[in-house]
Amino acid sequence: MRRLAGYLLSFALGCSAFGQGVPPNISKTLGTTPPDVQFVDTQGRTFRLSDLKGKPLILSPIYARCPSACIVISRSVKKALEQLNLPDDAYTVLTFTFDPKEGRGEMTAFQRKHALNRPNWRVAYVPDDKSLFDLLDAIDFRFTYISEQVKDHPNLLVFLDKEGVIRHYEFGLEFTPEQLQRGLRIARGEYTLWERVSDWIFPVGALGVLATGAWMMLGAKRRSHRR
Amino acid sequence: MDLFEKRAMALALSLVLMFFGLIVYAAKGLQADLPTCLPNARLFKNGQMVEVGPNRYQVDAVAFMWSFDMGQGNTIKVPRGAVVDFYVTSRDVMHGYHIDKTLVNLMAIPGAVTYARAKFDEAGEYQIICHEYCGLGHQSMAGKVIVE
Repeated sequence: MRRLAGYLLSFALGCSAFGQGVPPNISKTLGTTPPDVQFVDTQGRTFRLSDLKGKPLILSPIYARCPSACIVISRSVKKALEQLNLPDDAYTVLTFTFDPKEGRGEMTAFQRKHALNRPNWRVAYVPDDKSLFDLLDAIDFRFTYISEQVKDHPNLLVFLDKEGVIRHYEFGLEFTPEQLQRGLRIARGEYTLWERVSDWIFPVGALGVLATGAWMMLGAKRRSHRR
Repeated sequence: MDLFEKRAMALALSLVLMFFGLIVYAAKGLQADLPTCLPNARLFKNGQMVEVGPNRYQVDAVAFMWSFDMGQGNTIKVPRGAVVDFYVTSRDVMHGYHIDKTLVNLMAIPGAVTYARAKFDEAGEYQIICHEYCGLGHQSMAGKVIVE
């Protein structure tokens, strides 16, 4: 029975993954700093993105009326962080709504319903619509309007380092402790050897192709001179 | 090696270099987005235009033999500086969706949705044409974006 429930849950999650919106072009955003927009949290406190500098920040764009994916994302992040059991000063989570029509009421209800109560977890909205879209552009988060209630959107987390620079994205619906650990590690500036060299594979490969072409040309020229 | 062969190889290598440079320039200099096919997107049967934010619009365009349905017929009006997300699909056969003077250059595919974003900084009229032969009325299949 439990296995059947598991299959049904997987099927439901698969269905909810339908329509994941436009994927971000992370080559444009990694290494950039998002604008210092002003947020209002569910307690009515105003703060800026720059106020969260000093430790890695996990940005989680959601919308509160989401019937499926945003709930799974927030619950899985909560569960994964509990499993990691990191100290509160190791990171901050900022869950914010990307829907300009949602405000404090919707976000408060979302926070209560899913018990997002950790002291280093801010649940907030951006009161100024233009600033909100500036922030969404900075992380290249594009949602698709389906109806007033439903929006398609990419399922992701954005990791910023302690200086507020975008360092990493994690994609998925149900985030695991390993994904969060990897994101936080990269946000701390701790890269594996592969992560350091992977960005250079394409340019080095392209250079290799061109160098091979040039070498073949030179070789052909030398051979023709010998004749 | 024959002189002609050498010249052909030199020309081919130069062209590869030039196209590679153009790709880098399009990506870095023009910040061009690649047109995106969204295999998981929800299909829509009717066109619409929605204002999703301040000077932000979403256009769902349905191509059909031989016009475009974008919610207000085949013409949309947006203010100058508008950022518009275009989602394009087809009701019948393959069509094209190219907006002149922009980088929007999409296929309209039955059963799939393609996507591109454009920012209209200059006022004027931008012609939309079908650039995929789609039948007898293909040559009259057009639309317009009016930027005010």
